[in-house]
Amino acid sequence: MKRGWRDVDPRLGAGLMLLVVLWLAATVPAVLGAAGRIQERSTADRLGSAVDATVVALQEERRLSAAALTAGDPAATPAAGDDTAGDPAPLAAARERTDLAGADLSSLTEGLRSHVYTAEAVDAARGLVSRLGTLDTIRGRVDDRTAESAELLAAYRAMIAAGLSMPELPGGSLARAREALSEEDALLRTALATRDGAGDAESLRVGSLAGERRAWLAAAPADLGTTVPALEAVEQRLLLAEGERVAPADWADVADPVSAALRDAQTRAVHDAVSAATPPAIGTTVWAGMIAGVGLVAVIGVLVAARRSAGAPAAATTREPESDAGQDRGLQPLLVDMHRRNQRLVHRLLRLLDGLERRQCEDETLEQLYRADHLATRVRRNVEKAITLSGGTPGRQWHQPMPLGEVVRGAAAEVDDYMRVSTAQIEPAALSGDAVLEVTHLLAELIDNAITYSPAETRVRTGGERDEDGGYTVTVTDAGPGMSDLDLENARQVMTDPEPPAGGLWSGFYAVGRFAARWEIDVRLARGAAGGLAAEVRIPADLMTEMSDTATTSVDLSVAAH
Amino acid sequence: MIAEDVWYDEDAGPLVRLYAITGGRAAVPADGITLSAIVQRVLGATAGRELSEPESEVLRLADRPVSVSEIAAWMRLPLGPVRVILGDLRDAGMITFPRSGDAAGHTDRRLLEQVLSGLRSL
Repeated sequence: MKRGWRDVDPRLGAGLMLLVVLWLAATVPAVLGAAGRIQERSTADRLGSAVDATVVALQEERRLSAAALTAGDPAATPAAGDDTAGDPAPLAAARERTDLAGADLSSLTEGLRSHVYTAEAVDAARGLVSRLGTLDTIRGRVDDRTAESAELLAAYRAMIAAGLSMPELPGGSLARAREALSEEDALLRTALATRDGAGDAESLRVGSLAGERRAWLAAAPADLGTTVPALEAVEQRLLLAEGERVAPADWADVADPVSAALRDAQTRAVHDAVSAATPPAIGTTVWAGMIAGVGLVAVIGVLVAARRSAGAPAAATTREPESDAGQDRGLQPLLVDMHRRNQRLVHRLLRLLDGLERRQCEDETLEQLYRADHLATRVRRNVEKAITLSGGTPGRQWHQPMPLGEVVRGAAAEVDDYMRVSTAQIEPAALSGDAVLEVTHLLAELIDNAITYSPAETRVRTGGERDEDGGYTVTVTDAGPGMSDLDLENARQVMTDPEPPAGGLWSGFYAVGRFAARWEIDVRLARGAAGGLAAEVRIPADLMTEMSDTATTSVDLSVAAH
Repeated sequence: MIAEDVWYDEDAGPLVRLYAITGGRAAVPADGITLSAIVQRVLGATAGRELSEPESEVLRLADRPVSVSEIAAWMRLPLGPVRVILGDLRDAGMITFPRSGDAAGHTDRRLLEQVLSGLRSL
């Protein structure tokens, strides 16, 4: 009763082929899933800790640099409780540690070794590595004592923020809370050591950093023992009490325990995350092994059976690849509805503020109203951005053309530190009403980026002039460290991709791309003539019109300018 | 799903909010710049700094002698921000108030009311 393969029924042969294909279809996703789990673990383990180590080194370097700046200030009293002030050795050692951590991180992200990690994590790590290139400048300025405290903080903040943007950073919320405290610490160490103590600007910043820390801690509750209330009490004294001095030592006494507790909590969280990631990783691997192994045994068994007889192949029991598409389908309309409700509320709020501001009131009250107005305007920008990015059209619309100068100034007023934006060099022209909202928000994104990534005491310049072809070009230039070639390339890609970048990175440039795509506006990024980033926004000729109003008389800037 | 809200032109509110006109400042110069004070540009003066767009517009309007209330009306701004801008420009030596001595203390209520109704009707 010997039968060869040739004797197998062709229909049975086709069935067997199908079985093998189905087995492969079930095995490949399962094995890939297992590989993905292992990759996540490896990211949490290695790249995450390298980024974290670099961030910690930068924080220490920042603290010592701040102390060094104060030590160089003849008006400063030596910071009590901080015996490192004025001694260059610890700072040199801290710099060396930063460089070592940076080199380690850089080698992890380079070459073949980077294929083990997820793309988002590698992007964040590379972002941090490229920003470390700005260290030389700020170190030089610390050494010759020309750096301002705000400039120092902004430079380190930009680097650390790049590292903290890593989505899989272990204990991420705690690391961000620790960074808020660390910056506050560096700020106060210099401010409290000077004769005048913390001024208004410092107090404001302390308030916002403390708020940031509380928000991150709320996102990831951690057991910090009893350290926090004492810190908050001192912060209250700094923010509220008038004339009462907080000694540098008082600050160090309450801040250091919280910082240490946060570091411990983060270490525990990382440990927990790794242990939590272990069972799923093992589970997925076992599952993949079972599907691959048991399936293979089954297929072989069926083949053997088929060889023996022309029996029908057993019904294949394979696992369909899971599909999670459509999971968000129910949520999307709900979110759009929420944005619209928020839009209506913020519109009413701004109208109310408008009415109040136009009434006679005390100067101080009016200035508070202006602040409320600025905050509400920024909320409106976010709401309208959310509506546009989810494919809708925001409620504010214009039939009339609007002067481009107003569009640029409106955009500048939508960002945090709008007083740093210079808007005096806009050649008069009119923008078609349809495009006003998107152009405003597009420019606001670029201006916001410029403000965030340039030193606090520098200005962000906007310019605007007509093109020869009837179009118009608006430029936004900052005096920051600029972007590396890699960052520029990333930003360009994010702007052209209709899909949002993973992990919430580069979301500003993504929004720029979406606003620009609505009106075929061309946005180019380049390095500015004097360093920094220069963004060029080309508005096509068909969006430019003439003003219908009588108030278009241009202002002679040549007389006004010096 | 609620009905879609759409606000056109004027209803959409000003593109540049009031706080941005003066950089959030509201304090009017202590010596008071009255509604009827006359403003004139100082010819040939330079500010030595970059002027904001509203400042440039005030200078353009003040090429000839012009009252504070008229400037506010042209610029469609409340008096508060206009007075802040005028204070800044005077400090920079860009404008003078040639007749402010006469005008101060003689605020005519009827004139004020007329100006106010004029402003409201804009």
